[in-house]
Formats: sequence, structure tokens, C-alpha cells
Amino acid sequence: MSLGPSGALELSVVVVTYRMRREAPRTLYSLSTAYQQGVSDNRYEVIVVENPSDEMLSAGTVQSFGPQFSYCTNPQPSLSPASAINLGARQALGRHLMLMIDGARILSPGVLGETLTALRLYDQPVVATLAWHLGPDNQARSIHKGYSRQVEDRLLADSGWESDGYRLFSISSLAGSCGNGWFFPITESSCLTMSREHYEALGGYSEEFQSPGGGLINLDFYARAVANPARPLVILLGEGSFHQVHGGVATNRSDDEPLRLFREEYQRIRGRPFTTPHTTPIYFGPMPESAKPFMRRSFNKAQELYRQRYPYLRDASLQSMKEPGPKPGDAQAPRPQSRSLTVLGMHRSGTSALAGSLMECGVDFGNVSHWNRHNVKGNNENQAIVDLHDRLLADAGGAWDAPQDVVPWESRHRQARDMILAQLRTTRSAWWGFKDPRTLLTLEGWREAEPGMRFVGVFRHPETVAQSLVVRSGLSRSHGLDLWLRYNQRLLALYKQQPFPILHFSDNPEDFLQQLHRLAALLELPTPPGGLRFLEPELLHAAPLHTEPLPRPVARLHDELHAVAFYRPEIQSLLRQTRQPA
Amino acid sequence: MNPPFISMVVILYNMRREAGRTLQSLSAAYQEDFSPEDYDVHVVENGSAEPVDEAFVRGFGPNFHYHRLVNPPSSPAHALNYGIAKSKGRLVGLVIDGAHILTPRVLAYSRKLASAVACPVVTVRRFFLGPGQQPQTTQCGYTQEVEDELLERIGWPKEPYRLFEIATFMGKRRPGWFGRFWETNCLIVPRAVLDVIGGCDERFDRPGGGFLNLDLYERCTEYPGAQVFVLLGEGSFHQVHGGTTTNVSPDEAEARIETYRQDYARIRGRPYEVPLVQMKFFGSLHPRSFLV
Repeated sequence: MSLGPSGALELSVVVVTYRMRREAPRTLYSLSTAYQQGVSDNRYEVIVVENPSDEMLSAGTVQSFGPQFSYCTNPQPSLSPASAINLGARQALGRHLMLMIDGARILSPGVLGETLTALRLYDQPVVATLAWHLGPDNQARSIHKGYSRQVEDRLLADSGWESDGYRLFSISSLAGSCGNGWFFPITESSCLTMSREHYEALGGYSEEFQSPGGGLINLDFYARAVANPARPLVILLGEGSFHQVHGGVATNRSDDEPLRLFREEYQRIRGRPFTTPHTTPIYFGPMPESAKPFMRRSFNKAQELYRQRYPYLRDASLQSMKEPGPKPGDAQAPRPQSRSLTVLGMHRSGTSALAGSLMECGVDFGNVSHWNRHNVKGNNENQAIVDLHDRLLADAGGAWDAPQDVVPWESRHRQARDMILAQLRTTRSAWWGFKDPRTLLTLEGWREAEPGMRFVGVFRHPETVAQSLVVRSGLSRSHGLDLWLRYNQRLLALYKQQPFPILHFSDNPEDFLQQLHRLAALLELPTPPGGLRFLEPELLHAAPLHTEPLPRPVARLHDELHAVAFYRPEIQSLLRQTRQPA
Repeated sequence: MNPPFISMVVILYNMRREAGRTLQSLSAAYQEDFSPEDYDVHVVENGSAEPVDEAFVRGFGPNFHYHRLVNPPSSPAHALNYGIAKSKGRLVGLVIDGAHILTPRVLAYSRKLASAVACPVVTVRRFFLGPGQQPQTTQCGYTQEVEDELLERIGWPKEPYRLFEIATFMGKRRPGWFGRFWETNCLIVPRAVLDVIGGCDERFDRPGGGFLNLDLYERCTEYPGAQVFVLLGEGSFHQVHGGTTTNVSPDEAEARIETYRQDYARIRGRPYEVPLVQMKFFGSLHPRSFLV
């Protein structure tokens, strides 16, 4: 695509409108010098291209926003905005093009100024803003809960956005195209700027997209625009575009039907399914207070993700240097009034739910993780213990999913263990404890330092565990069943040395809750006034389809565990009789 | 000969162990997109009893210069001014505590900003190496040996952004990347700004300078027309050494800060207040920079 001659202007903004008499004036005001900060009207122009309808703007309305505003109608009307935006680009005089394919979007007041600065940072960067929807939620949802043009008009009027455009952040929600915020990949930008040269090289917007609204045309254009490493992606921080509700084709529909058709069209045109580009951005811009909640949510989410992916000073020996506290030798001096309780169980068997309930009953689990992407309530694991276990297992030549028969504890492991124990023993609770499924593989070293350690076990149907491991860890079913066997053999062997409660994590929440209450009574743990609440049905995933019979050793062990399970009255009675005095 | 684009001024005081890493992090082999002709580094040895060798400094590149001050005032103010006067760069970067390791895009991003705005004041976030605030961690077993081992574990300087794996934001309230800011250990400004404000105020004459660095930050960031930038994903990482407030016990540090506060009020005629600066951000956030 070849554009006309480029003049002295730095920037041409192309805005496409269609049936936006209500929305476009706000959009255009947000592009005027009365609103945009630090930019004069001789640095840019705004070209409004309207697709014909019975609700059109007038040239006078557009031009009223400043001498740099012009208006034209698209002589090739189409359901897609492609020809309109390409027409605007052909008319543009600027060295750079800011493309706004949906004229219903109000900009924040620094978009023009920050974009113009960002364009000087690199040779022909692509400058993108993230998108918000006005109102309490994504408009595809909020319009079904009473959000409307009238509600939006009032919201905008009350916000005072015209004098302080950053207030728009306070009345908006992130759009689906960038729902995780600044620190995750986005699928498109509703206000995207690039050099004319880059636009021409891309051939502009693809007019092959003929779905209403253009289908995935904007996603297609964004993906192509940021695919060239020589054209770095700059994402504006603290600025955004804010979508007004107007009955758009995709933004204001709640069902997936248009999306399905759009994806099909994309596949047909590009010969492959659409995927989000993962171009690493450079960030540029301010961070106004009103935008910080979005920044924090996005940052925290990214932090959780990357802390899973990268190690971060997790050694217990280093963590203990954070605060003056117990030293290695302190492990020999436990507080006499507190006792320890260790949760034992295979991965994906309800250990997190059990630990969470014990925490509700006042058992101190120390510094535990409350977040885990496979476990909605968190896994309640102490990271220092998990790290120690991972090191132990690795040093033994294994891993959690490749258990070794012998896991030797060496002095460096013992040193780390003692620091962890010293920390846990500082509790003011009557009980302290920890939980990590790997404990079943490493228990000897813990018992050596804490001979009075007491246990609570939990087991779950082998098929459910195996299928969960298939989904979570990509293991095969047979590998998962083998792991179930090896972990639970150890659980049963321990029980045979000295009986302790082993709960059955069934798919019936009431059943498990009842076991938890009985357990609290057995251990004389106080239950919270409103009862135990930790276990929620969402934690219990649906029971798997048993397509194949269980291997015989697995089935036999499963039966044996049921025979000693805590839900059996005779086992509860046995444990009451052998209970150690409080 | 054209002046270099940036001159970095680094103050050393009894930092034989730390200086090597700091200077390496300023070398052209480490800083991205910079060749020795583009910048220079002026190392000012501020009256150290245990100075580094001149040849050691020059070993980092032909653009490294060594200045040894004998019996200078105890504050680094004079040393900074000395380095500023000796250097010629259009931008000047001030590293008041030479024990800080930098990440590799500090210079490149500063140059980009200087090409885009008229008066950039570039600041870099500060981090403590180790698991927490060094005034605390050094009370609990964190030592130079532990630090050396940590740096070895991340293979520094091969993958410099792994520094974030072994570091903590400096500041009790964990400012994060977007929090308020009143001090940096790497301040890069146009030379004209330093000329107009008169460089560092040598009345801040305590060992370590007291609030000298806060005062300098305040006067640079409030310079008319200045645009203040915080580099995202870049940092300066403090190595443990006997700094005046960073490596003493928390009680001792508090007492010293109170004295510094009084000095500031005497010199400026008003109590110190954190400047309300409109900051902008620039940089890329490496996944590891989310760890801290």
C-alpha cells in the first residue's frame, strides 16, 4: 500500500466511526488540545472517516474540535472498517499514523504527548495503548446487568473526566483484549501508532476481513505490526482508551457466536488459528494514582507466575537472615507447650484442604503459600520445606515424581531443617505443623529432629489422583497410578507402626467435613465459631470416569487404606483409646 | 574530539572488594549498545585507607579514569564535584556509593531518553543484595562471603538480570517499581543541570554525606523543565561493605538519620520533605524483575 505525500506533521490520527453520534464527540474531545496535555494543534491532525448510516456525524461537529480535525465519509461502505481506516491513512499527512478503528473510545489525556515522545525513543517503534471498558465490568457482561448508555452518561458526567481524564481509570474495567493488564501479552490495541513506512509495509488493514465490524481485523493488524523485531513495541503505561457502550459487534455481545465466526474467518484468511503475539514490550509513560490498582493487580499476577518459574532466594538459610530470630542451635530448644502435627498424603489427595482446615482450628503452619494455580485455595505449603525436600530428592537422584527408596539426609540438609523447625517452634499456638506431599519420601530426617511428631494422613481414589496428575503435570495415567502406589505404601506402613487418623478425601464435601470435625474433636482442637469453612465444593473436582480397571496392587492398597480410614467408627474408637494425653 | 555522551562518576571509599564488580558493570563489555568512545567513567578514590590500584581501574577499558584524593573532606560531596569537573560528558551519571552493581541497560536507556526529551533526569531503583534489608540481614548472618557465594550461584555477570533473584528492594516499606522515590545511587542528568544548580552542596560534610544525596535528587528533579524517569527493570545492587547507614544496626542507623535531618534543616532552612515529583517510567520488565 502506498500513501500520499507526507508533510511536516508528526502524527495523523485516523478515527473510524459508524453510528456513533453519542460516542464520537467524546472521543474527538479527548483528541483535542483542550484535553490532551503537552501537545499543540500544529503537531498532529485528526481524520474522521465515517462509514455511511442513517445516524451520521456532520463535518461541522467534527471540525468544531479544532482546526486539525477533518471529516469524510467512506465512498465504499462496508460492514468492515478496513476500507475506511485505509482511506483515512491514504489522506494522512503525518509521518506517523495513530489508528483508532473504533471511534467509540475516549483516550486518557497523555496519549498524544507520550506517544509523540515514545516515537523518538526508537527508530520506528509501534506504540500501543491498553483498552478499558467504561463501567463496572467488561461491557459484554455489564450490559446484561443493567449497564446502559444512560448509566454510562451519568457515570461520565459524575466523574469529571473532561477536566481530569485520568479519572476514567476509576470508572472502568480492563477490556478482554488485555484482561491481565500491562504485564501480560495483549491481543490488540484500539489506539496503535506506527510510522507510515511500517504501515505501508504491512499493506494497511487487511480488507479481506469482511465480517461485521471486521471480525478479527484489529487483532490481525496488531499481530502483524508487532511481529517485526526491527520495530520495537512500546506500551504506554498509565494511559489508555476507554470504550463507550454502543452496541458494537464484538464488544457488546455476551455470547461466543460472533467470536467463533471471526476465528473461522481468520483461519480462512491466514491459514492458521489466531494466536496472541508474545512480543516483549518496552514500557513508557506515567503511572497516575487512579491507574495503580490495575498496575498492582497485573504486577502481582505476573509476580506469582514468575516466582513459580524462577528460583528466588528460597533457601531456609537465607530466609532466616531476614529477621533476627532463632539460630540453628535453637532447634534443640522446643517450646514445651506446643506440639507438632504433620499432614501426610500423596499429591492431589486433599492435603491442602486438610492443612487449611487444621489452620482454621489454630494449627500454626508457619509461612505458607496461599496461592497455587492448581489449587484454588492455595496449597498451604511452606516454601522453605518444599525447597529442602526438592534438594533432598534431587541429591538422592530422584524427584517428587521419581521417588527413590532411600533419601539420605546430610549435614547441610539437617542444618536447613533445624532452621525451619526453630522458626516453626516459635509459635504461640498449641500446635504447629507443616504439609508437603514429599514428606512421605523424606520423613526419617524430620522424625530424627522431632521424635514426638504426630501425623494426620489423607488419601484419595487412585484414579482421581492419576487423572489430576495427567492434567496438572502431564504424567501418563500409569505413571500417576504408580506414584499413588508408592506414596500410599509409605502412608500405610507408617500407620502400621503407630496408628494415626487417615482421612478419606471423597468427592462428597459433607463427608469430608464430618471427618474433619471428628478429627478436631480427637485432637482437642478448637473449631471456629461458624464451623469449618475451608472446604468448598469447588475444591472437589468431578469424579473421573473409570475407563480401565485399576492395577491389582493399587486396588488392593486402596482397599487396605479404606479398612483403616478414619471415617470408620471402630478406627475412631481405636485412636481415642491410644490418644496421647493433651 | 567530541565529548563523550555520558560521563559516569563513581566514588570509592575502602571498596577494594566491591569496586571490581561495580566497575565491571560499567564496562563496555557489560553495558549494552555502548562502546568505549561513547562514554567515560571517572573513579574518584575519596581518601581511602585501602585504595584500589590505578591500573586495576584502567583495566576496565581505555575510557576508565582514576583520581585519587588524599585527605579530602569526609563527605563524598567534594569527590563528586571533583569527578564532575574532570569529566566532559553531555550527560553526567553520579554513583555516590561505589559499591553498587548496575544492570546492563542503564546507559542505553539514558541515551534513548536524552534523544527523546530535552531535559531527562534519569533515576535507577536501589536494591540490597541478599534476602532482606542489609542493616537487618548483616545482624543475622549475611556476610560478604554469603554475598560472594550468591553472586557466584547466579553466575554474575553472565546473566546480569539474575541479580533480581538474589536481591530485595531497598527500603523498609518495599517501594516496588512504581512507588515513591527520593534517592538513587545512579542519577543521570544533563551537565547543564549540574552547572546551574552548582553540583553537590559541600556543606553536607558528614562522612557518607548525610542527606547530600537526597538534596541532590531533590534539586535535580525540581529543576525547571526536567522530566524525571525511573528505569523499569534496571537497578543498582548494593554489595555489603561498611556503609554509613546501610550496613550498621537499625538503631544506629536511625540515630544517624536524625542527625542528617537536623543538618538538612540547618543548611536549607526548612525540614526535609520527600519531593513530590511527577515520575515517568521507561524500560522493559524482565520476568526476573518481578521477583523482588
